[in-house]
Amino acid sequence: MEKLTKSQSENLLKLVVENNLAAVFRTTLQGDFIAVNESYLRIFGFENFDDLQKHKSTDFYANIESREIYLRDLKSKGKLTNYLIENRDRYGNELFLIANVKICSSNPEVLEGSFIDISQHFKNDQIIRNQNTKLERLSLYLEHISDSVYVVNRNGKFSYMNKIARQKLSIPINNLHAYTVCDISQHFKTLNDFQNHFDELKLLQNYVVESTHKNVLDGSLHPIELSIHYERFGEEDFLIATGRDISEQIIQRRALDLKNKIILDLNSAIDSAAMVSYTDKNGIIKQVNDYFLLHTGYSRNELVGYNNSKLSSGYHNNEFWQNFYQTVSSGQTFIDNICNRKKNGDIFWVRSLIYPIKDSDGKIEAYMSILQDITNEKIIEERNAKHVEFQNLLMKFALELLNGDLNHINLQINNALESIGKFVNCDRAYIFEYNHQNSTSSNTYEWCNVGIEPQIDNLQNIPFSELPEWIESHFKGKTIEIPDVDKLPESNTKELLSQQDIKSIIAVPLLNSNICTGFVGFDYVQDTISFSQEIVKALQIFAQIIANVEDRVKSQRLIEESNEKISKQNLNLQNQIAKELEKSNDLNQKIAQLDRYALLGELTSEIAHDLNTPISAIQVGAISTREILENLFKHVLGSVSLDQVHYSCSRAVESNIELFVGSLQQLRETEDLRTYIKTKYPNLLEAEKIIRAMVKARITIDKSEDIEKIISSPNPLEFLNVIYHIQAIRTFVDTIMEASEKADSIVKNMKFYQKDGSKDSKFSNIIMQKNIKEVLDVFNHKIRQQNISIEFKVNDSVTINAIPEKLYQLWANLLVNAIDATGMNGWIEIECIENDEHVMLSISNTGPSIPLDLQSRIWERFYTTKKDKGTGLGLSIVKRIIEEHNASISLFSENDMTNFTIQFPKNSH
Amino acid sequence: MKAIICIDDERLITMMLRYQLNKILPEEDYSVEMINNPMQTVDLVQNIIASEIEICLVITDYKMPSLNGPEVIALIKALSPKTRIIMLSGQVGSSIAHKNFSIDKFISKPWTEKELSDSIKTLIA
Repeated sequence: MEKLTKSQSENLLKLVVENNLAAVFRTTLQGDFIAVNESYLRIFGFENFDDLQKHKSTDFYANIESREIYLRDLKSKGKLTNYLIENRDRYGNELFLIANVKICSSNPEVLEGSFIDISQHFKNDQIIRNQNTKLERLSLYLEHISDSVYVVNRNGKFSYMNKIARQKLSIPINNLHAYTVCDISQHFKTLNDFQNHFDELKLLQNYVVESTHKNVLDGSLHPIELSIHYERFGEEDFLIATGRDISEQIIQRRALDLKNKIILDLNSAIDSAAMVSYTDKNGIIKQVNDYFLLHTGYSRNELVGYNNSKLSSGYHNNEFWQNFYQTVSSGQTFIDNICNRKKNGDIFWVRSLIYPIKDSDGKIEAYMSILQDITNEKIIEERNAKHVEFQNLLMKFALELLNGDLNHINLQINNALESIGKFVNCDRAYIFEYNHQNSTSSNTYEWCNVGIEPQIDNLQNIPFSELPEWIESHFKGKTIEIPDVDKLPESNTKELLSQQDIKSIIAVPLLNSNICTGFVGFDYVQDTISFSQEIVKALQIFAQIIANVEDRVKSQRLIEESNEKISKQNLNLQNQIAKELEKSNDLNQKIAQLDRYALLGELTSEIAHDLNTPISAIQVGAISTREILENLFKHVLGSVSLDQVHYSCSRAVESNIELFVGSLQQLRETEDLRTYIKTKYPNLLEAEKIIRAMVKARITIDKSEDIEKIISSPNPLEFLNVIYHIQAIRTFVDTIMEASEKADSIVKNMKFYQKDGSKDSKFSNIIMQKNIKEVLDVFNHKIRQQNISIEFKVNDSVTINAIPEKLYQLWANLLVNAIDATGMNGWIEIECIENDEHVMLSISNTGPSIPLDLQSRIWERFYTTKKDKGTGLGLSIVKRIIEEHNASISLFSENDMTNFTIQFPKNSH
Repeated sequence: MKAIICIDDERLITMMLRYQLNKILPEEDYSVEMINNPMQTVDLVQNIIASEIEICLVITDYKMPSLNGPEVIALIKALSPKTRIIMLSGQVGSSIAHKNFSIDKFISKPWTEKELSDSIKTLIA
C-alpha cells in the first residue's frame, strides 16, 4: 500500500470531516473536548458542542479496563491505528468504533483522531446481534479489510484470521483452529517458544516487526510487516496482528543491495586497472587510489592537497584547457586524451573521464577522474600517422611526376625533393646522375634546408674512381646508409663526406631495368640520425618513382619523334577504314537479304542431299546393269547352255542374295570353300579359280546343291560367270527400284514443306489413322535405319475436321523431332484418345528430355537444339497449324521421355 | 594387300562403291570393306590395323546419323594418320568447304565412275 502524501491525506481528511463520514475529534489527554465535528455529536447523541463539553471523552468508555489499556497504548506509541473500542453514547447505548488516534505533534497534551461508527452494522444485523463475544463482533468488521489480520491466543492457536490472510496462507476458515503460529511464522520454532514470548509481546503495544509467513499448502513465503497489539476479550488474552504485504519492498531492497554490491565490485575493478582521483571543485586533489600513485610515481602526500595541474605536461594549449573547464563546470562529463607528466618527468597519455559530482541541489561539489594509460597506443598511432603521411606524399609524387607535364618536370622534381627533404628532416636532399660512358657522376637536382650551403656546383663530373665502394654498392642496387660519418674507417668516401660537414647520409640508387642510373641522397649536417626501416623503405620507393620519371622522360622523347610519323600513317589508315566501312555497309545489306533466303536454301540443300543419294544409286545401278548386260551377251552367254542360264536366272530371282560384300567376309568364305572343296573334290582342276569365282558369285558352303551342280558341270568357271552376271543384274535392278522409291518418298516428303496458304487448303473430314500413317510411311526408311520401334495406337474410327496438307506438315514436323530425338534403337508411341469434346493425339519418344528452361523457347522461330539438323522452324510451324485448327498442344519432357499431346476440338468448322 | 573402307549410312551407296572399286583396282591387291553404321568404324579400323594391313583410303559420306563425316575422319586420322580421305556427299561442295577438317578429295553425289577412278588413282598410285 502506498503512503499518502501530506497534501493528499490533508485533502482526504478534509473530505471525511466535511462530509461527516467519520467522527473527528480533538481532546486533551485528560479527555476535555477541544473540537468535534457534526458526526461526533450525532454519534454520541448531542445536539451541540456546548452540551458535549460538559462531558469528558473518557466518560464514554464502556468499561474502565479497556479505557486504561487504550490510554496506555496511546501514550506509549503516540498513535493507534484501526483500534477497536467500545463506547456508550450519552443514553448508554453501546457504540462500536474503529479508532485512529494520535497525540498531536505540535502539542503533546492534545489528542486528535477519528472514529468510524460500525455499531450500526451490528445493530441492524440479526446474526451479528447473536455474536456474543467481542472478538466475534470484531471479526465481522475485520473480515473484508485489505490488510491481513490474525488473532492468536496465548497457546499460539489462531482464534481468527481474516479472508486475505487465509487466502495468502491457504488456510480454510473451518479448519483455522488446526493451525498455530509455528505453522506460518518462522519466528517461533515451537509453541513453547511462542508462549514464552507472549507476555513480552503483550507489553510491547503496537509492536511493528518484519516477518515472513509461509503458505501451508505450497510453502511459498510472503514477506509481511506485522503490527502487533494486545487485546483482552472476556477472560482471555489475545495478540492481534495486522499485516501489510511488503513483497515489493523486499524485491526493491534486494535490487538496491545488488546495485550497491555491483558498485563496490566496480570500484575495486576500477581501482585495479585505472587511476582514480577526486578533486574539489577548484581542482585540489582530495583523494587518489593506489594505482594512481603507482603509475605517476608520487606518494599520496605529494598529491593530496595539491592542484591537479601538478601532473600537467605542458603539451596541451590554453584552448584545450578552456574547453576542459567549460565542459566540466557546466556539469558535463569530459572525455578526451590528456598528456600528463610523471614525477620522474616522463610524459604519459591517458584516456580521461572526468565526472562532476553534484549535491542534491545540482551544484558541483567535486570531480571524479578515471584515467587509463594509453601511452603505447599513442606512440603506435603517431608512428602510423607519420607513415600514412609519408605514403600520401609518395602517392602525390607518383601522380605528379608520372603524369605531369614533362615541360615542367625539373620544377616538379625540385618540389618533390623539397617535400621529402622536409619530411625526413634532412638538411640536404639531392639527385646524382651516373654517366656510364665517362665513368663520372654529377649532382643534377638539389634542395637545401634553411642556412645550409648548396653543394651542387662542387659536385659535377666526379670520377667513379674517387668513390669505388660507393659506386660498387649502388651498381649492385644496394642502398648506402651511414648513420655516423665520423665512425667510418678512413677512406675517400669519408673524406669527401666530411668536407661537406655531413654527419649522416642515406643514398638510394636509381634503378632502371636493374641498371643504376644515379641515386637520391639525403644529408644530415647538424646531427647524426638513425634511419628507421620504414623510412629507408619509403625512400627506396621515392627513388623508384624518380627512376621511372627519368625513364619516362627518355621514352617520351622517342615517342614524340615517332608520333609525327604515326599521325601521318593514321590519316591514311583512317581514309582506308572509311572506305572499308562503306563497303561493309553494302555487305551487311546483302547478308540481311541472304538471311531471308537461308531458310529456303537450307530446305533446298536438305532435299537435294536426300535426293542425291538415291539418284547416285540409280545412276550407278543403271550404268552397271548396262555394262553387265553387254558383258553377259558379248562374252558369257555364248559358252553356256540354256539350262545353265535358266538355272542362274531362277536362282537370282528366288534367293535374294547380297552380291557385294566386304573383303573380310569374302576371305572367310574363300577359306571355308577351300576346305570344303579340297575334302569333297580333291581332284578338282583349277580349284582356286573356281573357288574365287564361287565367292564372287556368293556360292557358299551351305549351298552344297549349287556347288555340286557347278562342279559337275563341264564348264564350272563359265557357269559361275553367268550366275554372277545374272545376279548382278538382279542386284542392280533392285538397287534402281529401291533408290527410285526413296527418291519418290523424298518428293512426297516435300509436300509437307509446301508453303502456307496454298489454294487448296480446305477443311475436310479426315480419318486420323490414314492421315498419320501416310506421313509415317514417308519416314519408314529413317525408322528402319535407326532401328526405332513404333507403337501405333490410332483407331481407324477417329475422324477430325482439318486441313489435310496442314496435318501432314504437323505430323511430319513432330515425327522428325521424335525420330531425331530418340536416335538409334529408340522408341516412339503414337496414340489417339477420343472423348465427347476432344480428340487427343499424343506422340511420345525416348531420348534426352528437353531441359525445363528451354521448354518455353522451343516454340520460337529458328530455335533449335539439334546441332546439325533442322532449321529451327519446325515447332513454330506446328504452333501455327495448331492455332489454325483451334487446337492446343502441350509438352511434357522428363526422365529421358518427351511427349507432345495435341487436343483437337470435335465439330469445329 | 591394302585396305579401302567405304562409309555411308545408305547401303545402296556402299554397294555401288564396292562394285566400282572392284573394277577400278585389282581385287588381289585391295580389300574393300563397307560400313553403314559409322559407329562400327573404330572396331573395323582397329581390326585391319591389327592384321598389319595398311588402310590406304577411306571414302565417306558427310551427313550421317550417330557420327558425321568429320567425326569419322577425325577417328580414322587418329588411328591411321596416313590414310587418304575422299568425301562423297550429296552436300553441295561449297557448303562444307569452310568446315574445319581435312580431306584429300571431295566428290559430290551423284558421281561418275571416271570421277572416282581418277581420284583414287591420283591418291593411292
